[in-house]
Amino acid sequence: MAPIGTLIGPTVNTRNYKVRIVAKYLGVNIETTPQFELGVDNKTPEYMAKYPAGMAPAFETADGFSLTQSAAIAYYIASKNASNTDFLGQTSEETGEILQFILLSETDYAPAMTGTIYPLLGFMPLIKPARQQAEQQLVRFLGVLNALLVGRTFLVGERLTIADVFVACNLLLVYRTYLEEADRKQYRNLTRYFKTMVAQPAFKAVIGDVEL
Amino acid sequence: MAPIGKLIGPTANFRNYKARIVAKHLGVDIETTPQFKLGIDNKTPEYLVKYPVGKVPAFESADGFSLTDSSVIAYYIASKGGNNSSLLGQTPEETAEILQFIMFAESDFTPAALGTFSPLLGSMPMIKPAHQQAEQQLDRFLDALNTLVVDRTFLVGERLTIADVVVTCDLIMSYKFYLEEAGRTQYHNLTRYFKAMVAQPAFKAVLGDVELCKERLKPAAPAVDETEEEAAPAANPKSKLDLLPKPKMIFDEWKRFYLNNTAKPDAMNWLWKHFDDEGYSFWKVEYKYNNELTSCFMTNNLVAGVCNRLERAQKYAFGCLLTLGKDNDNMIWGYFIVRGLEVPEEIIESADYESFDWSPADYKDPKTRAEIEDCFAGEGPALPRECNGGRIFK
Repeated sequence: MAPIGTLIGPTVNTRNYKVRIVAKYLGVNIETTPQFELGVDNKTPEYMAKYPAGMAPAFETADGFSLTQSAAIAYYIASKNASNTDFLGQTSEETGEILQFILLSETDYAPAMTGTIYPLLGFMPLIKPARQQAEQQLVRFLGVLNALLVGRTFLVGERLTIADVFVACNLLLVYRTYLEEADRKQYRNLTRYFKTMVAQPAFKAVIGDVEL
Repeated sequence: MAPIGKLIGPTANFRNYKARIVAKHLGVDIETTPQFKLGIDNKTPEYLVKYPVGKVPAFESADGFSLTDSSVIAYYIASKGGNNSSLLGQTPEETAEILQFIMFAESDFTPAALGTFSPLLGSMPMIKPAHQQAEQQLDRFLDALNTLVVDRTFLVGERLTIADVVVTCDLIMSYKFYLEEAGRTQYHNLTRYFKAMVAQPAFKAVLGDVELCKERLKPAAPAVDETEEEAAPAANPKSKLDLLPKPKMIFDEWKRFYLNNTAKPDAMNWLWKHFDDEGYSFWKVEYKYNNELTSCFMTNNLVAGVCNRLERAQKYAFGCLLTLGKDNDNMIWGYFIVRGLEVPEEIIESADYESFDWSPADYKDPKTRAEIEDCFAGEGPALPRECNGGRIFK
């Protein structure tokens, strides 16, 4: 099947994974740009002319439609694939809930997570009061997610939705670098959820094995 | 007409406006909670049971469906809006573009805006490097938006969509508190867009008249005790260290000599000749979390940040912080000379102080002396490990 478009951005990258997992799950073919250098290729005049905020990833279809923001790209790919109606929600309420999780994960959880972990990796300066605040928020979100998942396999409805792709991918760094064995037991529902998600074929195909 | 539901949250609030503007545009009724107190009513046990993250606003429909996140609520109301479906786009491409703008506004633009304004409004502590970074991002995104709207009336397609509602509401604070007349002219496309949006009937009905910024918001000045004039020639000293008796070694002379000569032997000979151990003291400085360090490149970045944040102590300190070791097995180690016989307040109050051990160093001990010399030279056998970078704090 011909690819529906090209995902432009670094390929070893959580935002990139999200879109590719959605495409994989839905059996949609997309091209990627494995040579893309973050911080270099998205700052060229050509790139900035098309994408003024210089953000990556971006997405371009064969007929010239272009998009940024991994959530919008993933949603678009799903919306062009009419066969799987659960994935974006079957009702307005389900779609509302799905978007709620995506926004929560991207605008509230992700900054708390990066604010906690990035300074330890040197991607961000370590400013103690800011990091402490981020860590408090992170712990709070992990607790909330853990409680939410007590009786659920998936976040919305009874099947995998785009909300699961986004929330699970945003947990990658936390499970790889932050939560030790004792913590994983403490957040047992979340850990069960995370392990189930990354074991799904579409996740495994894109991310490979996740070392905790 | 029965209200579609209740929007729970403070009403004079940019997030709250979004759902109300959509409802107004659709001619749909929505209840609000004008008495809601932010920070209080969203922290009650009852609220947190329903909305564990404590997010505001929340939405409850007549039939018990509940939702959080202002943009998602606006989206949901638009999706229930019936015949006027163009708010959510008329094609999958338009819908995706709408989501693109919403995600940009919510996960990129708004954090930069809040990071800039909240410390100025006092709703968040002011941490200067974080505030500076937020402000840089805000300018970057205002510029991007300005470029994007150069030839557009609406953000997506040829009609109002909820992308316009979300982005315009997220711009309110910038136009009220930040962009003075010069800024508004600088981003003139964006200003044209913003003014056109808030003039639309649905916006006007909810926002009223939006008063544009006359003077950019400044940080709230801390309450200052008005001090009387000192009889002494100097005004109130800014640091306790300025009150110390004049030392026999002038710090600036040392710093100049060090920068203009080779460390070993010339600068160090000068130092041992002139060092005044009543006016200054040596301290060994070691990072507490060496096991968390990764590549030397990253550690050097960390050290650079630490030195930047020691700015306040610049007059009263000199030191070298080195990255010793190799990738994934390195440490931050160094020595400082400080004014006085204790670690200055200006260093203790810096953001990074808690991450380091400061221990007094006896320069008369030969081993310590050798370490100090090699430290200030950035190389030598007395260093515990190989030096792979570092910073001179002067």
